[in-house]
Amino acid sequence: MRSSITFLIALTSSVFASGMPFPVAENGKVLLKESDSPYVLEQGVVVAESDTLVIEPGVTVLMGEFAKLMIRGSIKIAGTNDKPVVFSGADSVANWNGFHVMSNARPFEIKNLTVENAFRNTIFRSRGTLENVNFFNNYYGLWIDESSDITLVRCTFAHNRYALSVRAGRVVSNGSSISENVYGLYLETGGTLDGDTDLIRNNQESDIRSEAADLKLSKKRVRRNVWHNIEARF
Amino acid sequence: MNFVKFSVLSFALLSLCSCERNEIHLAFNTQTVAPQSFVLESTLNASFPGDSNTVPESMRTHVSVRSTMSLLMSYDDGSGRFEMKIDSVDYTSDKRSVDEFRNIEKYLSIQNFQFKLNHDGIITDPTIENALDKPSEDELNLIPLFLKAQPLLPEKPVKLGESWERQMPIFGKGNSTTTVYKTFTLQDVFLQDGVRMAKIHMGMKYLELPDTTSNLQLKSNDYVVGDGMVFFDVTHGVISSAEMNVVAVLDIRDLVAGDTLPSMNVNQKIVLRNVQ
Repeated sequence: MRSSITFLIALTSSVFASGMPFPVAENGKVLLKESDSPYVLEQGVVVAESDTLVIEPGVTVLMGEFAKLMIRGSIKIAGTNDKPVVFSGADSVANWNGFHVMSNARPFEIKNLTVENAFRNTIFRSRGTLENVNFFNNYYGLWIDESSDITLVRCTFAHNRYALSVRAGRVVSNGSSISENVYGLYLETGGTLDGDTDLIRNNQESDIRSEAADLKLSKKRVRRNVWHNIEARF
Repeated sequence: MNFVKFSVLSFALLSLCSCERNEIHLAFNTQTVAPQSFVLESTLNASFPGDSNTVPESMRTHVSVRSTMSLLMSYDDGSGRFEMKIDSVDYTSDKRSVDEFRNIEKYLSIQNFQFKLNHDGIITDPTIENALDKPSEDELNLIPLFLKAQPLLPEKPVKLGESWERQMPIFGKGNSTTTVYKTFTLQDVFLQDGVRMAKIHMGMKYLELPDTTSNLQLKSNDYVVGDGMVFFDVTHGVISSAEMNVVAVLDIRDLVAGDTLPSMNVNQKIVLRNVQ
């Protein structure tokens, strides 16, 4: 019996030994330091509206299979060219859920971040700038919804299934590249992308698709989010 | 242990005494019940009729959930606190990709929740165990499915053919709550493998009201109605099975698109089986 418990403790330790647990808020701040990196996020975490997520350059967060990073508070992710911040799956095979920004308190600041192996990353009812953010090998690279003031500066989307989706919002692209994904840019109802579109190219199935054009072509009227809302409601 | 024996004996005696007066006392066992395994299945069909410019469209989704309900704590007022642990989830939809199926199965599989159950079936305070695993705005939520299938039992003993009405809140997205009106009729009482079973017809109706915080608003002009049957294990005070067929006609207003989709037909079949 004692050996079983010892084995269990050893097994548990080995699972969590690969990084620091994702920290909790202290004095209104969730601070991830380079000196404590890598961090491990096993399940869901919510950064509350009253808190600020601050991530130092060089921090890596390894995401478990059920990890979901929901940010309702302010965001300051300050990677550098030499020391980017990395959100990556702990398991190279299984996707993690993704990061979700729902922060209308103040504009978010996200610089030099790499996001890999997530199922879906979303920005909802928020505003801010993503600068030199690299979305790589996600199912949905970035899904922007009901956000009218998002700027993408020198961001890169590659090897995602759906690189960038915009619904009910306006995104300005400044030197951002969307290449080598299955689908490039997908514009849903009320979604626009202004600025540089010449770097949206070399995607396998399509570079730019519009839901409205797809519906018209197939003589359909019901948008995807309508179906999904009915399902969520019932 | 004596308390357990006393509770079981009291429960059995109460049922027996009521039957002698051609009445039956229906009550959930919230004091001594053993863990119960359930399979919950929901099949949802939605369809939109086409017009001169568009073709008819439809959606079909199916979710099957295997779960275990365990009593955590029994209270002096006759209620109990329970945990519903999700053991496995199987999901399909013709409006999503297989990768999305797997993602949905993953987040539903950690939606364990707790709730307080009164002996009459009223469920209060249902909460996802880990608040951080609460579903996002557009994610599926298992709790309303369980609540729709949940029978509410009469407050006093009833005879065959007798009906009763109860209402219950079903918690939706955000802080929204829908009041659901349920009606029941005791149709039959019979013995099955030594277990006294009650066959209860269950009707349901509620109004689908638009979520004013969303730019996609679903509204039913008339009641969403449901009709089904419950087989209640009177001996053990647990659900044996419950089935509910829900029919709705919705108008869907998309504020972003400036479009209203009238007369979206929605049919949902929910089946809950005790597989103990």
